[in-house]
Amino acid sequence: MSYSNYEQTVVVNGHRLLGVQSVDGSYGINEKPIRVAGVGFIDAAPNAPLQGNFSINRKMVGRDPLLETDSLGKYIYDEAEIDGVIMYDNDAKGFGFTKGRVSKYNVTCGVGNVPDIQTDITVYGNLGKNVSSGSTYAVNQLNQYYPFEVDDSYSVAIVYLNGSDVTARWNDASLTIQYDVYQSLSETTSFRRRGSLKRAYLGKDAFIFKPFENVITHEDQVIQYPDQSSIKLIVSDFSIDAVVDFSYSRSINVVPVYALSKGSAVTWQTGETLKDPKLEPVQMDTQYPIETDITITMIANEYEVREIKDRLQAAPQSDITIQICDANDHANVINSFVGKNVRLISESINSTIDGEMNISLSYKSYESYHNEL
Amino acid sequence: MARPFLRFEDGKITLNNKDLMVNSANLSIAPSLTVEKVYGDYDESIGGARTEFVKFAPTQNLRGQLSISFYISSDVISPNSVDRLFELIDVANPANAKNTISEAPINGNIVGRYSFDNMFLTGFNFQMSPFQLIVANATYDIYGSIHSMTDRYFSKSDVDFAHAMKSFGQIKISNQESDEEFEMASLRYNINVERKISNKIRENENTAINTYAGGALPDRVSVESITSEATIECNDMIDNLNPYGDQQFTSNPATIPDSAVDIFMYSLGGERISRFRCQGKIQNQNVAISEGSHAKSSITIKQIIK
Repeated sequence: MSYSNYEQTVVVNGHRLLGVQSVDGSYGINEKPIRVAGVGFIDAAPNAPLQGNFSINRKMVGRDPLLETDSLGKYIYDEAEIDGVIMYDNDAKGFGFTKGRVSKYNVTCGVGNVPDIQTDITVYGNLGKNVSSGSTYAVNQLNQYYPFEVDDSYSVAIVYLNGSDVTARWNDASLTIQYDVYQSLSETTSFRRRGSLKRAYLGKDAFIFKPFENVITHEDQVIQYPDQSSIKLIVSDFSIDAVVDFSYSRSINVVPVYALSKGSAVTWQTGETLKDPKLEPVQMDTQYPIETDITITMIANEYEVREIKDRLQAAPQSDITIQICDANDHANVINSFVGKNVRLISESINSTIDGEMNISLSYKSYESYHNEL
Repeated sequence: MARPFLRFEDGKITLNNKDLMVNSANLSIAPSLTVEKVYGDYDESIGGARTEFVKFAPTQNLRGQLSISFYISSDVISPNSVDRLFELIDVANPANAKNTISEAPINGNIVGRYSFDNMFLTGFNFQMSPFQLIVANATYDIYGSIHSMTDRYFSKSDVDFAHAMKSFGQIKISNQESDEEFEMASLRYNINVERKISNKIRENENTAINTYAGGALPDRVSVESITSEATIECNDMIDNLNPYGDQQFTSNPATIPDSAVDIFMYSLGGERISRFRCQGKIQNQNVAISEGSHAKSSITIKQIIK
C-alpha cells in the first residue's frame, strides 16, 4: 500500500508543522570488519552508537514553533532535546524519533518566493516505527472484563490499576497509561470475588498500544503568508539597497557523551539484563560558539564595496534584523531573525549581460554560552 | 610460485600449538652485544698503544619479544577463549592468577613464517570503550632463536566476540558504591608479570651451545611479581583521598576497606565471557580540562597479586 502526500503529518515537539515540502529520515549503523591474521575477514561488529538524521524542508506559512526562545531570548532548540514523528495511514502508523537535536536551521528567500526553512536534526535516541514520546496504552475494549459493571450477582464492581480504583475511567474507556506503568503490570487481568463484591486487577491484556495517541499536544499554528512586500531587512550601519534574496543559517555542533554500562556481581551471577544498557548518550552538549551566517544579495544602487584593508583593521560589527511579516498585516511579524554583532566577512559583485549588477554581502556572528557578545 | 611478501590472510599465529585470532602481532628478536676492544701494538707517532676493535661479544641470552593484539571470543572451544589463552580463569580470585601464570615455557609458537619456543607471558591488558569491540593485548619474552616455516592459514567463522555494548563495570571506592551521577567513559585492565632469568654458568661454558643458533638458554625464568591495575576514565575524582590510597571519612584509616573495580565481560551475543577484578589502593587520579572536550578524570587502582 502506498501513502499519498496529503495523508502524512509531521509533528515536532507536539507541534504539527505547517508548509512541509519534504522530510528525509535515516539512520545508520557503523560496523567495523574483523580481520584476523591467517584467516582474513571473519565478521563485522558495530563500533559506533546509532545515530539518525532528519531533514525537514518547509515553506514559511506561519509562526515557526521551533523558534521558541527562553527568557534570555536564546533559542530553546540550542540546548533542548526534541522529538518528532511522521505519521501516515490516518495517523495509525509512524516513523518517529526521540532525543533529537537541531544541527542546522536555515532560512532562504528570493524575490517572488515564500521563504524556505530547512531544519536538520541529528537523532541520538530511538528512531523507527512506533517511536514516539506520546505513546500511550488505552483501554482494550475487547477485554473480557470491559466494561466491569454491577449486575444481578454483584452489587459492587471495582477495577484496580496498581492498587488504585480506576473503575469509572475503565468503564468509559478514557483510561490511558504510559509505558512505565504498562511494564509494571502482570501479563493478564485477574478477577476476584467476595460475596456481592467483584474486583478486577488490570494486567497488560487490558490495554492496547496507541503509539501516536497524544503526539500532538499544541494547537495548530495560524496560517500566515508573507510576500515580498512584507519582508524587511535592516542592517544597522548603512541603508540597504533593493534586496533580491537572503539566507540566514545557524549551525549547531552537538557533542554527545557516551558511557559504559554499570552493573553488579548480582547481574553477572543471575544473568538478568541490564536496567540501563547505555545505548543513548548520558549527556549531550552544544559546543559553542554557534555560528550564524547571513548572506544578502542586493541590486547595486547607492551601496559601494568597501576597501578591504579598512575593514580588516576596523573589523566593524553590525546588527542585522530580518522581519518576515504577514502579507495582509505588515505590523504582524510572523518570524524574525536577528544577527547581533555580525561582521562582514566577504563582499562580491556580479554583473552579467542579462541582468542587473548584484552585490552579495556575507556576514558571520558567533553566539556564546555564558558570555553575551 | 610463493609470494615474496606474506599476505595477512596466510600469516597464521599459533601459541602453545593453539591457533589464535590475532589482528596484529609484532615479533622481534635481538642479540645483546657489546664491543670488545684491546690495546694494539706500540705506535711511535703517539708514543703509546692504540685501542683496536676485536669483535662484538654477546652479553646475555638471545632475547626476543612478541606482542599480539587480539579479540576475545565467548565460546570455550574457540581459539581466543580467555580460559585457553591465558589461564586467567576467574581472575576475580587473585589466588588463581597466582597459580596459573607459571614459570613453564610456552612452546610450539608460530608467527607467520617463523616458529619458536621458550616464550613467557609478561603482560596482558584490554580496554573497554563504549560501542567498541574489546581488543586485548598480550606481551611475551622469548629466549632462543627462530626457525623458518611455510605460509599457513586456518578457517574460522561464527565467532561471538567480546563487545563493550553488552559488558559492564562496577567501581567501589573504599567499599562504597558510586552514585548515580558517576559515569565511566572507558575501562582499562592490566596484568603485569615481572620475571627474572637465571643462567647456570657451567652449562653456558660448554662450547656445545655455539653449535646451534639459539645459544645459551636461561635455566629458569621465575615469576617475581604479578600486579594488576584498573584505570577508569570517568567524570569524577575521589575526594578525601588519604596518603594510604583510600577515601577517608573516619578517624581511623586502618579500618578503611580497599577500593575495587569489577569488569564483567560479555560477548556481542550476550554470552558471559569472563569477570576481572582489581582490588587494592588508589594509585593515581587526575582530571584534564581542555578546549573542545569535556573534562575527564582518570582513577587508577592497583592490586598486588604476588
